[in-house]
Amino acid sequence: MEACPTSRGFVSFLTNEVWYFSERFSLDFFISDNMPKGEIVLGCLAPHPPHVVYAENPEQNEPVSEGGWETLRWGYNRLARKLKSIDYDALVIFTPHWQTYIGTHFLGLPEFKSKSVDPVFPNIFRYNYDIKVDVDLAEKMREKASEHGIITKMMRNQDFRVDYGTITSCHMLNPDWDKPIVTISSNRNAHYYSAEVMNEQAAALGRACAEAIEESGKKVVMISSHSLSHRHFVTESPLPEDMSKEHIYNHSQYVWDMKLVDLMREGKMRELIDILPEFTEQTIAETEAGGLTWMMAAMGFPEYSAEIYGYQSVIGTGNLVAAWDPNSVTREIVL
Amino acid sequence: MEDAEVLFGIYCPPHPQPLLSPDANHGYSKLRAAFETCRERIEQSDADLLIVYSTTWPSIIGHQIQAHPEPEWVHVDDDFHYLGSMPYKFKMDVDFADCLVESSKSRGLHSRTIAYDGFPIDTGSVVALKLLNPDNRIPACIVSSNMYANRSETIVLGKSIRDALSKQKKKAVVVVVSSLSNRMFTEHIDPTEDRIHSPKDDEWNRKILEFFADGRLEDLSQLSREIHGQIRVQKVVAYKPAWWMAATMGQHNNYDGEVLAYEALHGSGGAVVTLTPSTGSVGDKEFDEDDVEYYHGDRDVLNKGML
Repeated sequence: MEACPTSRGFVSFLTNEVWYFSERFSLDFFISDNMPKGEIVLGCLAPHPPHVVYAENPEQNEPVSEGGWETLRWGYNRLARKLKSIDYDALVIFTPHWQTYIGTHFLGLPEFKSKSVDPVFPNIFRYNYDIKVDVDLAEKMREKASEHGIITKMMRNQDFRVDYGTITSCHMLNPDWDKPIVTISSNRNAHYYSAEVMNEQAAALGRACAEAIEESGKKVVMISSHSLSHRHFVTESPLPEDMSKEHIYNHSQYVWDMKLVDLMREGKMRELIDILPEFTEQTIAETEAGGLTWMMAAMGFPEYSAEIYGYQSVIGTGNLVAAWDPNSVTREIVL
Repeated sequence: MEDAEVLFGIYCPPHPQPLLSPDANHGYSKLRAAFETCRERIEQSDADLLIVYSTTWPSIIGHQIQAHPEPEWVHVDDDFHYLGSMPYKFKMDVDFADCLVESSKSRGLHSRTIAYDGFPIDTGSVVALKLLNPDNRIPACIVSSNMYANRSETIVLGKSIRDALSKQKKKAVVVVVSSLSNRMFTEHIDPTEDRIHSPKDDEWNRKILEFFADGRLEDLSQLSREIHGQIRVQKVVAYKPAWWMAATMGQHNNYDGEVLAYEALHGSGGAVVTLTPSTGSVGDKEFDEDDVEYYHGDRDVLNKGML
């Protein structure tokens, strides 16, 4: 086969295929003009308070609850049913609980099996996980991000413990764990620079990931894993699932959260992302990690209504389950 | 109640390089050597207990205190995973942890012990305990750093620790795990080219180290807010280690300070310092901020005056 070498692979003159070489493992892949373009088939806002997994009582989690946070969980359950009806290859999740300060990191090994114990709420989340990773897709995203000037790193330490944000959001959306995932760390630009810089860099990462998905030929569900307002109570009820004690931390947090929900309903995602730095500062929001900006940029800032599945506070924070369905035929008005 | 007996204090950095890659940079080697000097001094002391306050263990629900008798895991750092894994098995003083929960509650703090298999002990605590107490010769107690806590709460936590030490009549070495300036380079670097991120960070670090060398811990505590504004990346509300260390060690300036090493760790300021209680005060300042004995919790300001 005649070939033209490039910096990362070579082009075959006979088949017009581009072969890429992975750095350490035999995960070489190719892109062909004949391959259908990949696409984002759904974007999900999927908050990760471990309380919702605790309340579901899955066999993987050691603590046992009497339930709780039903508004949020039932919304999650309905979105999980929608996902079952969608044809997709992988879940790609951006998580605030893998915090990196030196660039953006990607899980880079095919399987992780261990136990996740929440460092903040260990009394309710001790989850035994067995996760499959789409390393090809992760490599492709890393490569595209790097081409766009974003500092990146593949995480290839088998002892690495997958963060509970990834586990909680993925469990609630796909409790069968029958799809591989890609986990992307959250680079903390909001800490080092400002929420505005975070917004710009997360958007650049989102565009790079969208390019990677398109070239991969895969159908992907994107997950932005975080709450909206994020001020916690610093005490906990003796029974964490005692719903008589649960409410938003203060009214201003609620008003801000509802402002964002309204913009989502109205399909004004560009405007929402533009005011995100202010929202983040005013409500100590978990949007500071960049997940929502990343996902919206990857999806081209949707101008259609988001599907709203549920909003509820968890230990004072504001949590919304929502989705953006690019397919107008399957898009729903849920709530 | 008898006064608490703190034999000496150690201030050391949380980054894993001194543990995992000490030979990658001459500075990392110096930090490693300083850790080893501290280890020897701990071994030569008759301490009953190591008390670790780690800035890389954030908590939300009050103050968490590690109380698993032998926590064991293989830890990997979020950023520096490529440097390798950190297997550990530590020995905790469960009696002291239980006593500390009670003493902190009696001062108004919300606190609880943590004793779960597989609980993720943070990078800073792992690095400190593996280097300072590698054979688990004496038991340890690790306390979290509440992300919302500010000066009052942190100082009361330190006083709670003194209460527990007095009650149990134990002699302790206290360990604060924290950077000085904490701004790292945001890109991967050749470790041989590591340096402090900026001259400003370096100047502030050296000023802080002057205070440490003079034993002026209470003065550093009073300067904490200024330090936070000048050289701390704003991950949390305040620079709390100086408050905690000063409160736990007695809130004065009477120490023999020794700076064993000061080096860059991926751009941040890493120093290993010891403070040993002494006699004779240094400094000429009194302070306006009131001392606090009891934590009263949120003042409910947000809900006052609302329609």
